Amino acid sequence: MLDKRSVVGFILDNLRRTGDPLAATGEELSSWAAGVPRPPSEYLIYTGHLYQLVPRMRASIGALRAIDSSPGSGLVLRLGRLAAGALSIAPDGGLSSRVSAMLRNAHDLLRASGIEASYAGPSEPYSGILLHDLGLVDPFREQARRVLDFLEASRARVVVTLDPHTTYALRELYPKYVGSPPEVRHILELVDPSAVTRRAGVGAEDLKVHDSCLLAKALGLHGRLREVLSSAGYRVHEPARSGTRTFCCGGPLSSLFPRVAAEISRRRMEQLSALPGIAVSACPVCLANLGALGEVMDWLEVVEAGRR
Amino acid sequence: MSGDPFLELKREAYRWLSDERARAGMERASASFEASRRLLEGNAYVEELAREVREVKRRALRELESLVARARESLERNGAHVVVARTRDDALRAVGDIVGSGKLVVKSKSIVTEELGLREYLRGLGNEVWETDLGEFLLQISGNRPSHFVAVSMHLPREEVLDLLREKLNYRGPGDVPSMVGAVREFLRDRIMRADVGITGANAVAAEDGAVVQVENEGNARLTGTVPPVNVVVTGIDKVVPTLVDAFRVALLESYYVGGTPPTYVNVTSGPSGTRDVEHVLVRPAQGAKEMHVVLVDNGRSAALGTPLEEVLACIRCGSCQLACPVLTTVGPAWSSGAYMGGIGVLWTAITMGAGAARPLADMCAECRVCEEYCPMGIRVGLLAGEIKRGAGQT
Ligand code: SF4
Repeated sequence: MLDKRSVVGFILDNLRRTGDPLAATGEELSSWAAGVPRPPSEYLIYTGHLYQLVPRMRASIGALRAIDSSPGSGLVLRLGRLAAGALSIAPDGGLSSRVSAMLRNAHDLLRASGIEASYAGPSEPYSGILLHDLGLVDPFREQARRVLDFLEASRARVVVTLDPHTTYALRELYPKYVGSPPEVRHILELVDPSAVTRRAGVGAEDLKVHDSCLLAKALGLHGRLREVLSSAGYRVHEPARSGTRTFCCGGPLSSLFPRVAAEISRRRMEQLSALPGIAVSACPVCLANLGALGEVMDWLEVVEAGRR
Repeated sequence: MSGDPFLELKREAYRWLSDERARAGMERASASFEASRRLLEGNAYVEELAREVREVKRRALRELESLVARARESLERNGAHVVVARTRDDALRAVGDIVGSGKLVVKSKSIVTEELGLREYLRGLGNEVWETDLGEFLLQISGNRPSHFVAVSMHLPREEVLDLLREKLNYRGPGDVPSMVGAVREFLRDRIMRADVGITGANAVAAEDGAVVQVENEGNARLTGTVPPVNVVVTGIDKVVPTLVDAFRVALLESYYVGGTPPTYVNVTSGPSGTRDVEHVLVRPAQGAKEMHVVLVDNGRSAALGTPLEEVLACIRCGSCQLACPVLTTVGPAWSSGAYMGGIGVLWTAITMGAGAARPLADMCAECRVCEEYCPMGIRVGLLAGEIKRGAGQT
């Protein structure tokens, strides 16, 4: 069984060595962006690494759960110097290409909505949100400062975020800890619902939405998500717990209490299984966790630019 | 024992996770909660009640010190003995002095007595103590901790209850729920009838009227408070509100938020039992308790006033947030400091035991903040638990 110090040490060590909490490489972080312009521009896409981390999150969730479930679990294992090699979190290739397609799609959806956005590439720093969620105030502040400097240097007027965690960090947490970034807009606030359609190849017209807690409660964007999905031509089904009364995917506990996280994910998937269609979320953390147990897609996989 | 509170919490959580029966019990409890919550959807009466209670509590907290003094005066005027206990030890000593030793003591459910560890304390003084609320009784005989403020034994499914009754009460009847409840009823009735002291809790205390209000469905609290010759009410100072009408509102709201229905019983006690029916001479008792004692427990509450935790003192302990919590309904009693569980438990632990004791528990909060959507008092449970995780209140 892993103690907190080991998990925290592993993350901080990765961040120090590679600039990423799960040691994602520059190639993994930015290969999606071939052909996307570099700054400066009025609108800057800031990914905060989160979508790109889905394959590594998925792998680390499995590895951490296995350590906590191993027969020698009476033993307190210290990851400390073992680092990424021992915690085999090699990302899975299929998931990596899915994520790249989602990010390219995000860029295309913005363009179809009249927004030409740039992306900085491998020099884009990590948002630090995981540090905040683990209670690591000082490392979070340090990382936030780095991001703030980066955003200011980019000279962008509007920072476009793609996921609820990064949006929340920039919009709600940075002003409290280090200062306000330039205007932050979540992509759902910018995409024109009339400029999206069902993505070719998605074999269903029915979707069941799993709301990310942050997207609904902290950002209030659950209504907007439905508007976009319906406008694209989907029938949207609601689980009993949805909107601001959604049910967590378990993700926030996946590093410290991986087996508890897994059980919460299982319960959520069971709730969703009562409904027809494909389960859809708008959050990389939900995708990494729920997607480990069954078919879950991100909203960026089910819509594309185009008029119905 | 590793001595690492994080690992202990994780071990406990994993232990409950592997307990199929407990998980089945909690799943059933969550499902039935969802159903009862649907009864409240769009209920304008209950919404208005919640609005009024938020206002009552806000006013009460602003003048808590003077309200507590007022409650003491009024209760004493009505013939009750009142102790305001600053610390846990003061409270235990006060109850210990009243009860003494060698007594048969019956108790109704009270979270504050869990907070104090009162049952164990009184047993340590040489008393026989029985919980008379069915759920609490089951926890007592199983040695388990509560997993919810109200549905204390939601992690004990019927199969487990049957095993317990067979083992601890030598029960030989059938395994259907009504038969099991009937057997416990007989067992506890006998203790209540013979008890020397009945300890009860409170949902609210009316300062102006000097009255204690308690809601219940089982009828055990009514018997516990009236049949034994001595009644001791143990409750927190946060329960004091200006008037009896306010106290009723609090009690009703708690009941609606727990089960979606009004309470079966609302008990109001303003002093010991007495009669002046013969020549207008006061004789105590008539049919109820001869003595009434009220122990108002501070134990960190007044220190929370003026801090970010002040809003937590408005909590009416309905447990609505707990049944909505994906984590608590998964790990049950593991995520608890004893009396206080879940996200709101992190906050009450911080108030009654200090932020240092609460911080390891805060690690288990996913900060999804769905609890806040279910709280009638608008308490920012998840937000504050997150702040504790990040070191709030630590010196
Ligand atoms: S925090 Fe709110 S929902 Fe939770 S027990 Fe207290 S009053 Fe009820």
